[in-house]
Amino acid sequence: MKKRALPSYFWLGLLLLYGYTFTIMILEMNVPGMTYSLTVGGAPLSFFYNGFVGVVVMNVFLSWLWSYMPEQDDKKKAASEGGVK
Amino acid sequence: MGANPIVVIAAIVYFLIIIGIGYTTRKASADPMDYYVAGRKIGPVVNGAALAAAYFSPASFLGMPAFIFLMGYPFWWVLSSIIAGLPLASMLTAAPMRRYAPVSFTDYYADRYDSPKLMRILAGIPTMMSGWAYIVLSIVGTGLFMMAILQVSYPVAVVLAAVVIMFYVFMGGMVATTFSSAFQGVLMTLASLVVAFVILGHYGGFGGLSEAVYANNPNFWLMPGASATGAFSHPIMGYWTGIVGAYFVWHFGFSMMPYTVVRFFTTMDIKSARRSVYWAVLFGGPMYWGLLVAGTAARVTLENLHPLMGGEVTNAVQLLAAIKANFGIGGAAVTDYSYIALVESLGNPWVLGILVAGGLAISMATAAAWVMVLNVLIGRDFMGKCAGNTWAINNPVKALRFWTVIIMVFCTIFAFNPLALVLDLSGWAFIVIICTTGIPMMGGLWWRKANTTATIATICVFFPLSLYTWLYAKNVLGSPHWFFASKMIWPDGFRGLPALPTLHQVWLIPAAAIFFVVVSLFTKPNSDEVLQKYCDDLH
Repeated sequence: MKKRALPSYFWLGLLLLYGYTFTIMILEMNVPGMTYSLTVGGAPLSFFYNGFVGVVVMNVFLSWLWSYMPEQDDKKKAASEGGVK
Repeated sequence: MGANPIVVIAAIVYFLIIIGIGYTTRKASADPMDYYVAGRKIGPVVNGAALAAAYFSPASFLGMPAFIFLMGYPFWWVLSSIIAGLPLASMLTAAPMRRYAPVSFTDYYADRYDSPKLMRILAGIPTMMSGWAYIVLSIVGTGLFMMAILQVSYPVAVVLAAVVIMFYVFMGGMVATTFSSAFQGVLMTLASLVVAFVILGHYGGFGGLSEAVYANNPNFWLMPGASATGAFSHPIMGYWTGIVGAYFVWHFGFSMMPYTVVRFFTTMDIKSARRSVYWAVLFGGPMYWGLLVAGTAARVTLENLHPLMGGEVTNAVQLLAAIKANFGIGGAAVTDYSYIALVESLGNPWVLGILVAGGLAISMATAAAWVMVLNVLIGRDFMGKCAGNTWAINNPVKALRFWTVIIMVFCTIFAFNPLALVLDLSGWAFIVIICTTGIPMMGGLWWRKANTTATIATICVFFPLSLYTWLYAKNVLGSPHWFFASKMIWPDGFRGLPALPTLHQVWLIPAAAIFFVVVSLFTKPNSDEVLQKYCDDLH
């Protein structure tokens, strides 16, 4: 069987990252005033979706995903190799 | 303004801790593997903090707030992109490179591309150029923060900074660099967050800050194309290529830059290598959030609160130029002092003290990380592996210590009166690594068809090409942020802009990737044995 280089959760994570980023960028370029006038609690929403989610939350999630899932793969692999023995 | 005792004490405590780490780790010199890769005993939290501190150079701590100061809201996306580049490394390079477990950055090229001497030299040349620019930049950054602390002249600050960095790298090699960087990683994050919360407190929260920024400069908030009148926050952000280019300039660096990749060699196992990326994000993400808040507040705060405003100084740029002239900072950009000046404006010595400690931390960690890459490259790879020098082979730690001193002295000479070009070159230094050694590394790890011919061709073509196009754009168009061929294609400018914005000639990254793929497809692959060992088995 041909070995797959990178697992599906890697590509799904990339889709989430770039999908989120470029969807918002395109909206910001086409909705005048979106970065400043769209507010929540008096503060521009851009502080949340870009400053907080884009800079911190998204990346903490992806780095967790891409360290946790390979560890689970390693455990499954070790278990199956143990079973064969 | 005189030196504040609180700020001076904060700096002295910081220096004592760093010197102490250097002294207590001196036993690393007894074992070359400790000196090279910290004995591969480092856990994920320490390595994560060290990764963050090493990767985020003064270009981050000084440069990011300065770029937001200049280019406004669109530059927020760059901070997002840089942090988003960290998780990519978890699977792409951290795990496979730790599985491979080399000693030097060039080991992988020598083995995967089956050419022990040629590959070390070819991969080593762009690495040396990039390292030189980064170390100079980092010494300059450390000097700027020392100047803010002690109110001493710039040359004195540079010497003090260089001596301390040289001391702890010399004493403990990678062990000292790892533990000092981990401490520095915690400190820089703390500093950035403290400054951000003080700023938000000053303006009464995000709403108050955004209103103050809008009142000062409404164009700050403009994305390319978002204004019906064609206004923009900065000409480089005048068209979508500017922001998309800016997004990708630094995005892939964490996975490919020598001074971060070597940190994966030091972890105790593959799991720790992956987890250290998670911890690097936990330290780096909040730090960048703090820088984003500081950069947003910089101009309005300087213009309203800085004690030197008034008289002939009527805006923030004039203020920074006056500070630069007072201290004699040579070719450093005026905006490089914007973050420090912002905190000076807040008038709180405790906050300035912690900012200075954080700034020293980030600058010194980057310089030390690069010195470790270069001393192994020259002392072990060039002298030992390529030239077969018996002294370097028989005395590995002495060879590395010798080159530590030479590298630091050489770079300090450039840092005394930094040519603008040297500091500017740090942008090119990033691009050149990705498009010369970065793509063959990634290709070699994940693609069986990646081969020696393509690697040689990519390095030989894109090393001079990236430098030429970057210098051409800078000298002919006035900035490396314009597409180098703009004048030839659009003699009258591009859609109202002087040229097409492409930050730091970022187009070179996809161009090099396509070139590498095409050459690999049409030339002979490496042997099955090599591909099995250095590609398949590393996944």
